[in-house]
Amino acid sequence: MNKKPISRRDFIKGAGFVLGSSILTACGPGAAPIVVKETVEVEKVVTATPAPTAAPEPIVLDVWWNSDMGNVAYLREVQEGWKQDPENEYFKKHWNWGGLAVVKFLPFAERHPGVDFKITSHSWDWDLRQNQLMALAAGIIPDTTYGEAYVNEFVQLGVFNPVSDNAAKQFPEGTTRGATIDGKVYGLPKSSGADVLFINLSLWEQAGLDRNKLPTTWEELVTAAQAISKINYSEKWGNTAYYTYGPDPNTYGTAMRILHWFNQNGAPLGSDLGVPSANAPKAAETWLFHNELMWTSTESLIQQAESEAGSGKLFNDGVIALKPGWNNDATSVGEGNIDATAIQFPLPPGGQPATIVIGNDIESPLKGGKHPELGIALIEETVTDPEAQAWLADNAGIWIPALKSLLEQHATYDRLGGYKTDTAKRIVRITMDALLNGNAGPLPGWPKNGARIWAEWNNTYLRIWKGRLNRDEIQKELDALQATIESLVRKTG
Amino acid sequence: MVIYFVLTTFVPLAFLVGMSFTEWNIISPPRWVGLQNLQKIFSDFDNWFYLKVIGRTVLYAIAILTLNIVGGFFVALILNQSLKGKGLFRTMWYLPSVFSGAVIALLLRIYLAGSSQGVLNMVLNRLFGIPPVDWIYNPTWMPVIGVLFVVWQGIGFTVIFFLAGLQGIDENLYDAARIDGANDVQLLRYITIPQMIPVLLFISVTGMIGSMQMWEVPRIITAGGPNHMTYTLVYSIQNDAFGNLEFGLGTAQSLVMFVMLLVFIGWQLNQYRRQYGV
Repeated sequence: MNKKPISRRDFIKGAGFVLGSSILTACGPGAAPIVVKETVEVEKVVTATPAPTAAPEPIVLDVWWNSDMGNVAYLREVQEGWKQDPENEYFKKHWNWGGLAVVKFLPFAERHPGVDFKITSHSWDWDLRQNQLMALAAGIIPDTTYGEAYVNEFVQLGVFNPVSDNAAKQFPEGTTRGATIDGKVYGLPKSSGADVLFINLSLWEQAGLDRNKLPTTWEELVTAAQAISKINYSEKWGNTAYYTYGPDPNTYGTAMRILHWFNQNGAPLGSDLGVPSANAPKAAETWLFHNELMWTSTESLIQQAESEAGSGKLFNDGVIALKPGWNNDATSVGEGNIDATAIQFPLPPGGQPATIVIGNDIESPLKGGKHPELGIALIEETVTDPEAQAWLADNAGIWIPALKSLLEQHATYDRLGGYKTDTAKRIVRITMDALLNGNAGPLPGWPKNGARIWAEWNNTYLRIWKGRLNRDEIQKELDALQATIESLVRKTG
Repeated sequence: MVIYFVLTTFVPLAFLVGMSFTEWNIISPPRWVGLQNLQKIFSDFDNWFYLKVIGRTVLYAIAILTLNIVGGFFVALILNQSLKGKGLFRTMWYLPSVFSGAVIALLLRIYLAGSSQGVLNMVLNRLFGIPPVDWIYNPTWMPVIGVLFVVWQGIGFTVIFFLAGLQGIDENLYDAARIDGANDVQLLRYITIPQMIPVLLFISVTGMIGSMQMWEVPRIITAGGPNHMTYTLVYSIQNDAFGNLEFGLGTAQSLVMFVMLLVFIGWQLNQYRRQYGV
């Protein structure tokens, strides 16, 4: 008898049956147990003894932060071993975050016995944003997190808990606006910074300008920049005076050095919650003013100065006389220890003081974390701690405190050890004043398409600057930009 | 095997199709919106933005595929000769395919820096006295560089397949043709190329799939600029899904790309069957 071969269909059916049966068997309840009833008489003398108690499990706060700092035991180890020395093993591993973590987290642990930490780093910028998104999507939500860019996006997604008004009031409004919706603040800044105008006083005087009469208006600034440009020639760079970042579609960093002019002139690019106003009535005139400044230097300088470190060196070398910069720029400028100063930005006719917050690292408590109330307490207690706020400027430089009580001391503030030179410290005190009193604020908080919007803005900047467009041409560009941004932020459905 | 194939191909495909009809930001549950995402892609939204992205991507794919096929075939013909060190040359041609595209793009971004310190500018200036050029923001040069980057990465793969095809051609065909008086050009036209049709079919199908996925240049170098000249479909999918948290719109674009490639592959196979009766 010939055996009938098994068809493919039959094979699949058989395999599926076997697989399904196996799964059901594995998942099903075990066989019903056989019950045996038996009565046993037992005589026992019972005396009361206290039940043994196990130590309660510590509460472990899941903290996303700038460096992997582990738990309280590890923080104590860092406290013993960390030194600000490039050869120190803890400094190599954690940089200055190690020192700050000890000052910031250990006192909280002492005030909250039974609380431990799991402090982990999740990169910065785009990578941090992606990590936060994936954690939220997967439901593995930390108790607190950190960030600068994209904080507003997460605030608008509604994933943070608000902090108390008392805590928020301790900071200048501009430093928390990026994390504020409907009057509620969803994060506090552990560090900050603000833009001011750096001036090379040697070049200033060489151009025949009075160092005691620094510019207070746009017109004075343009006149001074043009005067400096006339006398400041080098074979490599041509005639130069003013520098700021040229257009770069990969970043919003350019906007941080330019948008203050628009905010001063009542023509902001957009609101905190991303309502665009790219073609506001005075926007074109602001671009014209900006072009006048930009063209006191050559295209070559703008493209090749290479942001903070590069432009800092060129500033010290006398190629650049005027540039917007923040506290971190003070470090590179300060290294040259040249005759330089900084002022808050000159104003247009009828304008208001304004500057942009930079380096504004915000920490926020999350709604979906395991310990939401404790997360809020951690943020409120550690970020408002004056010692923690003062630490970075005193050790690392780069940032300034964001706490009002420290900023108010700007004129004589001396905990600026991280800035090394007197020139740098002098400039940093001016940035502290600007952050407190200079109407500092964040970039517009686009609810979506942020990367594309900044790319479009940079493209518009490129055409306006390189094309040396006139007012009507600029207005046309701005109308197109406004339409583009409006379509990009519009919610679908 | 079938179960594996179903789980790894059809289930994700079904998920992709389903997600295309939703609005989903990965944090809140997805919301059904029907054809809204597809309508947006084929509408005049933002000055026909998505249609321009699709058109631009197709143009790039055609340019990349053409250069890959013509260039790859030409190189394979040379490497099929008796050359000294041909093993080394074959390895050199294939090497770019092995490198990580993202790493190369990062290096390229440095080389293309617009300052006088940019490597390419330094070389051109020293050799030919050309002043620094802002390559990354140049709307003429950057698309060309983008195409050449992808071709450089993928041509080794094409060369290997063409080489294998050339070595599979029966020598007797050439001998017989030479006896009949055929010259080199006639040998190429009437024997080599027809014999390579199956390889060409494979390369054009796989090459088109790869060429439509130009991503490293816009993601790492240009952010889709200058003036969207390098804003490709895959970059748009990534931007909309992970940048704007519009996963529905991102997957709708993926669906469009899938259908386009399906149509192209179907047409290719159909042409081949009609011509060769297979």
